[in-house]
Amino acid sequence: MTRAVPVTFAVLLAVACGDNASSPTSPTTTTAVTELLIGSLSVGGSRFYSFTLSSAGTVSVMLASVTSPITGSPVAKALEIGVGVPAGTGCATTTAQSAAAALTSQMIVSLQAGTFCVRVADTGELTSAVNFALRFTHP
Amino acid sequence: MTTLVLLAALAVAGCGNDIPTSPTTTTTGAGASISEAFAGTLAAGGFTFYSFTVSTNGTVNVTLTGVGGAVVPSTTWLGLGIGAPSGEDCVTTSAVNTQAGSTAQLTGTYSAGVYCARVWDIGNLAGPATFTATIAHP
Repeated sequence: MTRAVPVTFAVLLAVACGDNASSPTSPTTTTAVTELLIGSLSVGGSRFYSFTLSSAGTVSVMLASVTSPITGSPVAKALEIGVGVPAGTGCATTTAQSAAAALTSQMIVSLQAGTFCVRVADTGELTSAVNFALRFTHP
Repeated sequence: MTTLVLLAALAVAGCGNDIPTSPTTTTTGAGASISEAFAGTLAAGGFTFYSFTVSTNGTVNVTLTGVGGAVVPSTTWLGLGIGAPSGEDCVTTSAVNTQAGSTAQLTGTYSAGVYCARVWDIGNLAGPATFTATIAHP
């Protein structure tokens, strides 16, 4: 009788911690895709880049650099960055903000599956053309 | 008596004529109900595109209605396509080389989503061309 308790405990432990006969469920992780929009932005200009989300998820946008096309030096000017839907000859943004270049995500947006775009534009601060690098990550 | 009335009312409610629910699927496809104008200037060797949203499954018609320019005859052939916006371009899935006309040069059935119409020089332009097109879609 004194052995019954450890034996019973061992059985319970085996049941609780034993191998499950059923196969483990596959994780539903989605690989994130990072894309770059790099180019020149003229005074008053805008650029956009279209992409497709096969499933709902989060899009993060980072204006990584704004530089002079002549010297290559950083330019301390904010640009407008935004996320929206391609429409007409542009990108109709549903979320937009002014941002200075930084090595961190300035915008995070949750979107459903579909076709979207990121846009970068002059806020009115530019007095000459600049080069820019916009990095965005999506599912 | 009250019980009988209630039973009768329940019987009527349970067996009465149901108003049919409208189906939520489109089986034949909607006709083009929205018309968008796509006009611009095309550089020699260049391309341009216009994005539009199809709200429900149906027919999309794209018509290149006019081509012109100082050194561009109105009979000039251009590339015309329908596809999906991708990157900084429109990746066409259906395309033709065509002259301007009044009849749709491209027609297709598309499900709801974002699409684009693309116009490009197929090597005929000696200078900038102005063009007009219409995109009709559900």
